[in-house]
Formats: sequence, structure tokens, C-alpha cells
Amino acid sequence: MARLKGCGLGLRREFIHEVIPSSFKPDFWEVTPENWINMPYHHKERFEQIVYENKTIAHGLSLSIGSDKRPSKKFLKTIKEFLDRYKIEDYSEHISFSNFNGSQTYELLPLPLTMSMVELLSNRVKYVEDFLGRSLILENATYYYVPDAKMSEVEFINELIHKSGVRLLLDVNNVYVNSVNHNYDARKFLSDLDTSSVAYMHLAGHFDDEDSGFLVDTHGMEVTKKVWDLYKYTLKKVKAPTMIERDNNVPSLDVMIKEYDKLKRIYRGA
Amino acid sequence: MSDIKKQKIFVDKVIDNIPADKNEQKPIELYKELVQHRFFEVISNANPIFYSLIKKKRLKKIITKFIQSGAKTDFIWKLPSEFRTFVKKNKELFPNMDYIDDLLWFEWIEIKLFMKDYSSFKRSKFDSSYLYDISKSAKIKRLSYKVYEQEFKIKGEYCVLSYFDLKIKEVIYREISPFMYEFLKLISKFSIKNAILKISRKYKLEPKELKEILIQPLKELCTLGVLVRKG
Repeated sequence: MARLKGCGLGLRREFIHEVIPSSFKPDFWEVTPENWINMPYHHKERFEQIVYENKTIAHGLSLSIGSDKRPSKKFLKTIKEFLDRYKIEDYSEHISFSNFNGSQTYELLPLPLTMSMVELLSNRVKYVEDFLGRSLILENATYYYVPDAKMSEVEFINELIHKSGVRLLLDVNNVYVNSVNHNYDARKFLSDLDTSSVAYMHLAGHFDDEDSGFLVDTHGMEVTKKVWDLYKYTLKKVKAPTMIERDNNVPSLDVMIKEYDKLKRIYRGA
Repeated sequence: MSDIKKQKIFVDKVIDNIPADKNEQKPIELYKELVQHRFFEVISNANPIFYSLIKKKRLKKIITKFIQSGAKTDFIWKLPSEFRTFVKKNKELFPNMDYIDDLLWFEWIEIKLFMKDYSSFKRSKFDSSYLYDISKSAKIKRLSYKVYEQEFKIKGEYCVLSYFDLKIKEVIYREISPFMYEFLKLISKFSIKNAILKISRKYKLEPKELKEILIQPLKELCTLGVLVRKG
């Protein structure tokens, strides 16, 4: 299996029919298993052609690795079958939880930043990796609240990396959003972060929600200038493969290609 | 306090089971909105007719109760199915909506048929000597309201066939007679010949004539992939 490199784009149903006619080939596609394990039948042929003919990685939503209970075998089996079927080696998820006591919120919720949580996550990483037969990649998530903090976010992530050996999906937009919402220096965060384990990076848009007073990680608009600037800074520290995520207000493929081309220019120039 | 306890308190605040402290109201409100929005988006998109009949504010209140009741599926597209179950168990939330079970079935079945994998699906030719069953691309249902025509007042016996049309790749519905509904139910259990005998006895019809009447519709249902050979 070829190593992940270059720049990628999230494959979305909204433009899947445009991909093959356009001849657009990013260095890799990222797919969300939960959105493709079951898919409308009319998407299936195109999806399979794209995934089989291109380097593809998976980015999940429902693992909920920090829950009160570890991920179910039923869920992991479904994910594994999907990854095996489409020969996907790289599988990423989030440092968060989305279900609790068996009930779903479908939202990435913040974890207590404690050593006991690092321990729990490290055990879960091993459990998931053993089950899936592949190493896990975890993303720094956005958060608007911390249930408890015995350490800073960056200390928590570094501890987790060292303790579990998990690779990091560094979401640069999330670093920016969190730095504004929690009033810290994003560059300092990146300087303090152990970037040796970064597997790849995410870029996405966010929304300035004046009502709540938070920047909200919506993935519903183009990447902002400040995030591009932070990405350029990040590239000086770690030149890892990078992709653009768009999950809401997904535009036509042409629009996404323009943003992808911008990413590619910056990435190549770094 | 353990991490799990802290997480539980946080989740309880987000799903409205306990009030948030004053100093944490803004972020908790944001999480409430994010969770609510996710559920609302899925339920309103999956149930456009239902959504057109109910005020947004009322639906939001119902969804808050639905969230508190605990959605289980890891796959969010299946959420409307869980919502159906929630509605069945909480009828008091839907006064004057006696048609709601029928309506939510009708809207959910479209999604369910749409999301199935038909890669290995093969149509069958009709031959009255074979055994047939309703295929995985189709569902029949006896309803009490003509929800497919958005008629919610006149209670009766209405039967509907919903199927995924593999040519146009869309879910189609059509009203079928209660007689046809009954016959299709019978052929899932008996051979065509025996099903005709049974239904002709019940309705005091001549089996030979009935067979002649039914042959063409059955051929069409095979062509559409609604009926497939057993085995």
C-alpha cells in the first residue's frame, strides 16, 4: 500500500457524480465510513470506481473513543469490513466522545483533560488497533467547554501520543478555532505540540457565531485567511499530507478544486 | 470525581436533563444547539411531509424529548427509523395526528429502499409454476390513511406498494387494491396456483378467470423487480 502523501479532498455525495467526468485526481481522497457503509445504490458504482482507482483514507465519526464504554465489536466489525473491502489502510477518528450510556448525540463532545483519560484512551487505542488490524490516527477536536482540566490541551495530546503511540491527525482549523475560543496562542500550541507523530493534516472552514461568542467548527465554508496563514506556519514545522474537509454547504466540485489547487500551491511551496 | 461522572454531568446538561451553572451557560447552550441541530436536520429532511404539518418550535420540543430518550444507532441515516419507534411509544405528544404512524412509515420506507444495495439483485421472469416472494426492493403496507396523497382526515383501508425502480433509481409508490395486497401477501406463503385458489374461495371467484386477470399485473411486478422467484 502506497504511503500517504501530497494533498487530498473529502469525497462527498454532493459532488460524487462530477468526479469521474472531471478527470480530477487529488493525491488522495478521504471518505467517512459511516456515510458510505450504506449508500444510495446509484452512488455505489462511482464510489467504488473512485476508491479502487485512487489512494483513499478513512475518517470516522462514530467511534466515540472516549465514551463510558469502549466501542462495540459490532461497530468495529462493520468499520473493519468497510476498510478491508476498499483496501483502506489509514483510518482516523477524533479525540472526543459522541455517545454516552449507549445514547448518541452525533456531536464531538469534549473529554476531561486528565491523566486518567489519557490512560483510558491509550487502552482504547490499543483495543481498536488490535481489532481493526491497522494503526489508528486521532484528530485534535474543537471544544467549547472542558468538563475538567488537570492539564492543557497540548499537554493532553502529547501525553496521549507518548502513552499510546497513536498518530495524530492535526486539524489546523481546530487549532485556530480553539485558540480563539480559549484565548491561547495557536503558534505556541504548535510549537509545544509533538509533531513527530503527525500522519496528516486537515483544513476546513468555521463559522463566527456572534450569538454564542464562539468560532464554531462547521466545515461549512471555505478555509479562512487566518487558517491558511496558520497552515503556512505549520508547514514550516511539519510538512505532512494535508486535505480539505467540507461537510456542510458542500459546493460543486469545481469550487472544491479551486480550494484544493490553492492548498496544493501552498503545500508545494513549503 | 471520576472522568465518567464528569462526562455524565456534562451530557445531562447538554441534553437538558439538568440545568447548567450560570458561568457555563454559553458553551452548554452551544452544545445543546449543535446536538439539536443535528437531530433536527436529519428528522426534518427525512420526513418532509411530517415537517410540513408541524410547527418548527413544536418539532424542536419533540426532538429534545427524542434526544433524551436515547438514540442508539451509529449510523445517523437510520435515525428516522428510531424516531418512528419513539413516536409509537409517545403518542401523547401527537394529539390529533392519528395518521402519524402511517406517515412516518411511508417516509421512512423511501429512505430504507433507497439505501439498499442492489448490486446482486436479479429480476425474475414470470412463470406461474414458480414460487415468488416480494423482493428486497419493495414493500407493501396496509394503511389507515392515504398519507401518500397527503390525505389525513378520512380513515379507511388503503394499501400501498413502494419499490425502488432500478432503471430510474428512484423509489416509486403506487396504491394497490386491498385485494391485490392480500394476494401479494398470499404468494409469499403459497404457490401462485394455491394463492389463487385460496383467494378465489374467499371472494367466491372463479380461479381460472382470476388467473387470467392476475397474470398481467404479476408479469409487470416481475418486470419491475417487485416480485422475485424464491430459492
